[in-house]
Amino acid sequence: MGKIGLLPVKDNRPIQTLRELFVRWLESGRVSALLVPAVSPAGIAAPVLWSDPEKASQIYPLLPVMGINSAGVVAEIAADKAEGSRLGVVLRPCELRAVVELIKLQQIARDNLVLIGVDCAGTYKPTTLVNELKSDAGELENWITGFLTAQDRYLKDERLRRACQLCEFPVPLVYDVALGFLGVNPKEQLLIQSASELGDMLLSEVNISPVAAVPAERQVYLDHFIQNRQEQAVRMIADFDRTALGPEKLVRYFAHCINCHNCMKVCPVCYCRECFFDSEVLKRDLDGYIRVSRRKGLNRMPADTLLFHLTRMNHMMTSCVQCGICEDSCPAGIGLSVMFRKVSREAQAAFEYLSGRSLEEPLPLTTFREDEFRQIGED
Amino acid sequence: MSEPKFSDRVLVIGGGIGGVQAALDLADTGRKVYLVESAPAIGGYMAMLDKTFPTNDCSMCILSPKLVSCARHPNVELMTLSQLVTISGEPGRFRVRIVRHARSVDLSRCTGCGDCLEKCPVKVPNEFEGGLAQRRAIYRLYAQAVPNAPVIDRRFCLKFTKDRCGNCARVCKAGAIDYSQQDEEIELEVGAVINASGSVIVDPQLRKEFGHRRLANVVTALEFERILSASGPYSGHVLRPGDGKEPKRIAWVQCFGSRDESIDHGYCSSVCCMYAVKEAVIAREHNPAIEPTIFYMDIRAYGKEFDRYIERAQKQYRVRFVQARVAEILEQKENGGLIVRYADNGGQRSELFDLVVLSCGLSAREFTGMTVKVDSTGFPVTRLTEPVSSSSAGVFLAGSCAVPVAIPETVMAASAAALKAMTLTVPAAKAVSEEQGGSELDVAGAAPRIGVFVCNCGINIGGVVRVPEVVEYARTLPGVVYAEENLYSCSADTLTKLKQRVRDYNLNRVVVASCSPRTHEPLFQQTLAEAGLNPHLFAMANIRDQCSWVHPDRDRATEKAKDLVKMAVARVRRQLPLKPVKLPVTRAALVVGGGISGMAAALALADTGVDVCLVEREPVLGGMARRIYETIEGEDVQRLLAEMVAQIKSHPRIRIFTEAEIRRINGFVGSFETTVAVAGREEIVRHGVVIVATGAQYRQPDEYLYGQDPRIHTQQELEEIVARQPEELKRLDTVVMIQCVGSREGEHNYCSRVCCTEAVKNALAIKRINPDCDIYILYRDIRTYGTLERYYRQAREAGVIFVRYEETDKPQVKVSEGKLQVELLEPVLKMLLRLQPDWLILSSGVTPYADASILGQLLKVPLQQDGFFLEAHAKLRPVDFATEGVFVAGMCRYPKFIPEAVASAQAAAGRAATVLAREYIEAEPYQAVVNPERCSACGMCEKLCAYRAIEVQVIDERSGRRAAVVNQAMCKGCGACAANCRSAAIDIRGFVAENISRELAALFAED
Repeated sequence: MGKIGLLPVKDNRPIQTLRELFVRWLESGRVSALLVPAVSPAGIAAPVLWSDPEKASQIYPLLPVMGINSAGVVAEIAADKAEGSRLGVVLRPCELRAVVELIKLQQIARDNLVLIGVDCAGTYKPTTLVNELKSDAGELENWITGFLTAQDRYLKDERLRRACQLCEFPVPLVYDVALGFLGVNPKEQLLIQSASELGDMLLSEVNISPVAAVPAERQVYLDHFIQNRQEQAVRMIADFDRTALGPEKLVRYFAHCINCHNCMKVCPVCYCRECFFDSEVLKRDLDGYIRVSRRKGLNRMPADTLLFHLTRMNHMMTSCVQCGICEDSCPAGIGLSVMFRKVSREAQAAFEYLSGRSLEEPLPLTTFREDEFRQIGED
Repeated sequence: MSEPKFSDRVLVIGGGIGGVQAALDLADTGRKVYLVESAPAIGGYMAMLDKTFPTNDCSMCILSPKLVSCARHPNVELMTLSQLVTISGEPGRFRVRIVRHARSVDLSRCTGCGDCLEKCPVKVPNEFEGGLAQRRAIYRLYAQAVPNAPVIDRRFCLKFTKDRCGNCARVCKAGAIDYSQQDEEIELEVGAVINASGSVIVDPQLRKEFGHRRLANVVTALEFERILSASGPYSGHVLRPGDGKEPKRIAWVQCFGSRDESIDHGYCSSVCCMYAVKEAVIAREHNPAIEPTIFYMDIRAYGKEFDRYIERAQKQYRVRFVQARVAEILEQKENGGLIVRYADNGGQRSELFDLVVLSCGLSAREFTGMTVKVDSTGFPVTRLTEPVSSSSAGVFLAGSCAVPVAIPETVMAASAAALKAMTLTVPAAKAVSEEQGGSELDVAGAAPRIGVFVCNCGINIGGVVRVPEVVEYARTLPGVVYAEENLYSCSADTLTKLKQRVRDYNLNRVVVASCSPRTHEPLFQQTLAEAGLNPHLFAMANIRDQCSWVHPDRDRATEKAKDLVKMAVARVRRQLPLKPVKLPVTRAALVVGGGISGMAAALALADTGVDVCLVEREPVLGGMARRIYETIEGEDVQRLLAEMVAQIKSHPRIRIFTEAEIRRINGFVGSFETTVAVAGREEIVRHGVVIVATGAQYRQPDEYLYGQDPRIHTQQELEEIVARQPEELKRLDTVVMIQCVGSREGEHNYCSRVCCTEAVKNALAIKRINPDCDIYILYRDIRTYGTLERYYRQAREAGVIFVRYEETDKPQVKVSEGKLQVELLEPVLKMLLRLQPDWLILSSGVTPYADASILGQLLKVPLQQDGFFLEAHAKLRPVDFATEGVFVAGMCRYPKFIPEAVASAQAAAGRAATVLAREYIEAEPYQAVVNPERCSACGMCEKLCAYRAIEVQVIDERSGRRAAVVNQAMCKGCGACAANCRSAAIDIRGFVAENISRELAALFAED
């Protein structure tokens, strides 16, 4: 189990090469359909559930645009074990990590899926790329190819989504098949790896040149990449600390929340059927609201927004994959991505856990260790 | 009508953990128990301990609930300050005489408020605190004493010595002080007697050179427990008695009064190694500056998880272990420092310590009022397969009165003794009606009518909180229609009044603002039930422990009391009636495993009238015992085994399946359904309980050339030769035995408990047959604990040579020029020892069966890291699983000797009998309930539930919709699932989130 190979790229067209690869798997019946990034002729970038090889030209694997975290879609459509269908999902590392968490939270049936992970050097919001997406198909493909080969440019690109600017997970962690472009010269070849029997089988259907190990130059580049991102993370978290640490600043940080709950709705790992905060439990009647108002003299409305954010943080921090889609969806512009990056990674580190790192690692709150958290309340 | 043949009563002597466990087990099966305790309160030694090894649980925290249930159990009559005088009659119909000494306090009136304690002018040393603190002449044995009433010590009380004072009677508002009480003698009829009188701590004065009492900073281990205890003389600060300073260097002197022939105490006390290490660890937890040193002979960590505990003590807590026997302790006059003189490998040494703890051993307690045959140690003689039966028929032994043991063995022996007592008694006739069905007031839809009762608790509350003001305030709260104050809410007359108020004012909810629900809630709930109100339409506000006791400021304490009352009223307002869930019980048992333990469990249960199905996968019964020929005591195991098999085969209630395999186990406590595959067909067995007794196996060594040379054997192979070809032994000149082969290291990082004794047994056997044979036993620690120590001594006297080796310097074995060669660095002389034995014998330990996990999965019971089954609680529930109705016996829990295995099997049977005695399982009324609409089926609750009582299932076949489902028979209402459910889909009945929110809202928000 676990093969590594190089997939030759024809005519300097990595996107086209991947389309052909996926078409082969669709035609051989290995996958019944694929969830994959696409751009419609009208210039709308969104994942599609693709089954007809004829429509391959609208498919843009490696498209550096992220409007949603597709793990949520996977949970929506593949929660229960299917009879015969098998869905291939082409996902970025953060999306894959969310899928792993959701599998562990029993919200996705693993057996339904072929996990196809792709490298990610960072993504833009769809709105950032309005012009690029509207250009014709050939130009768009060229633009993407240019992006993929841009190397150090995406380490400095401030138009990237903020969560991406400090992301240190450019390669998939859990997958059946992984497709890599970082540090391998994607105009000529792509790295293809398998990590399961299913993945081995998929690789065996493709003409690749096997290699013994990940090419050294890729590893060198990844180290460089990750180091840069980590440095960026340190800077951004320092900024966050300055503006948000301490009770007063934290209140201010969330002050403009309009209670729309978008952050909860788009979060891939926020999986409750009905959010407690959307339920009737916290609602008071008018008498109740007036009582509160009388006690305080005045009371901010809508009420309980800070409670909502703190509860959400508490619920999500052990599974948060730091994709930052919450921040993109926030009409009030609250800097949720850096906050969640800090809080969730620190919380996970306390449990020696990393969300989405493995399907075997038990969820932190389901285990008990006697020596856990000894630093609290002792010494 | 003729009298019944058997009594329904049992006498239990001793109110320590053994007596309490036996009493509870018996009482749960409907027997009436007289629990006789000579002290003013039950609890025994365990109540004095700070923490317990190896889990470091707070001793009192785990003991106290058992004591409280004993006191509350309708079938247990506590007889404190009492002693057995005589027993006459015969098993099934004994007559016993008990002397009950005067408490001088009327238990029926005393509310335990403690007002009298303050006012007593006499101060005397407090024995419970090892004399390190003082108490009054009227005193409570310890803070949480059960019963909570104080006792007057007539030796010191001025009323009795000088006929003056009388303060206590004056301040007691309950009128409970009764100077006129007399000692009385009572005669009772009982069917069986359980002796759980425990052991006696070795008198520290036996060796004056250790200076106890003479040197202020030498304490016994039990005194040190009190020093560690938060409720002890120094409130948990580790101080030394001499000058109240914090000691830095503390020494423990092991084997004080143990393994010491010169004071006629040659046996090992079994418990001191572990308690000393525990004390050292806990001392360091209290104060990391402490440097503990333990002077020991052998570290006898022979129990489950013990060696790991020792390792943690060494590595994590830096406890220093010095193998040396201490000769004497001298004092440095100027600073109270102690010079410990000892001899180790390097000769005579002296070392300075701030405090020395004597690890005093356990010795036999005299049996008063009964005739029980004892041996030279003073401990009673028992038979191999009847380890809890004394020589006196109908008198059973629970705990360290029989042999020095720690708490888990005591609890096991107690449950085993209870089982034996059950076979001589019958359950009492059922009470006419346990609850009056139908008479309960229907509160559905009715507006809340709340009554609030605020307690003064003598002056406990009223002395600080202005109770009338709280009552006035309560009247203003929404839904409150009545409020009043009481002097003692829990006194009998007040409870009668409370019932009347419920009727007069049509109350449908009640709040009592007084003390702790832990001790008093059941009392008030029962009163509510008697008044026709569901007992769950009730809330308590603890304005004593959480208010008057901790807040001296009257104004602010009164305000807080009001807040607490307000919260309780808010909580109770929407409380709903709860009904206990009743589930039927199948009166039959499944025993898995047909070794000694399985057979003993099956026989024990069948003797109580239960149908038992015994499943064994081998073609023959007997298990591991088939490879044991003789015990170290010289008993013929094969003969005993044959007797046992014959007995079991002829027992009308036992059905045996051999060459059988468990396929499926469905159901839960009270109603299991198991599929057994036997002889190519599947049988369905229905039963209410399961006893797991699947045993363990001898480990096959892969070290020291085993299997490569015919002269290298395991102890079991040697034992077979001793039994079958003893003449083989006659031609041996030299035999070397290596202990701990593949044990206490690597993957097998535990002690197999039995190998030291097996080696000694086989060495003695060789010496009997061939006295000239040189025998060397290479060991790390010799763990012949308890009375087995005598055989270790016999072996040394017979000339067997014991050589210690270190884990880091293991013996080297090779074959050179056709001869076996064993080389070892002798650690005392630091010399290389070269031996050329004829035979090399390996003690390679015991391992669990690898497939135990399969049964574990079928039963949903866990294994610990070494692959042994994991009991519900290492100390107090040693044969229970956390899963209700499933019990564990014998070697599959941990290696054991035959009598220990039988005791654990009888204990498992005893615990199982408490389930089967019931017509119904009454599940907790406080249960988790799932709102399937909110449930996201994430399964976190399932992973968290210690009782395996919640599971994600398909709840709608058509849509495939999944949600968590609670098994009512197994849910304990602990709330772990509810606390973790981020979807807020789980609530605990009686503690629903909505009511808790209302309670908090009452405090914080909506005034």
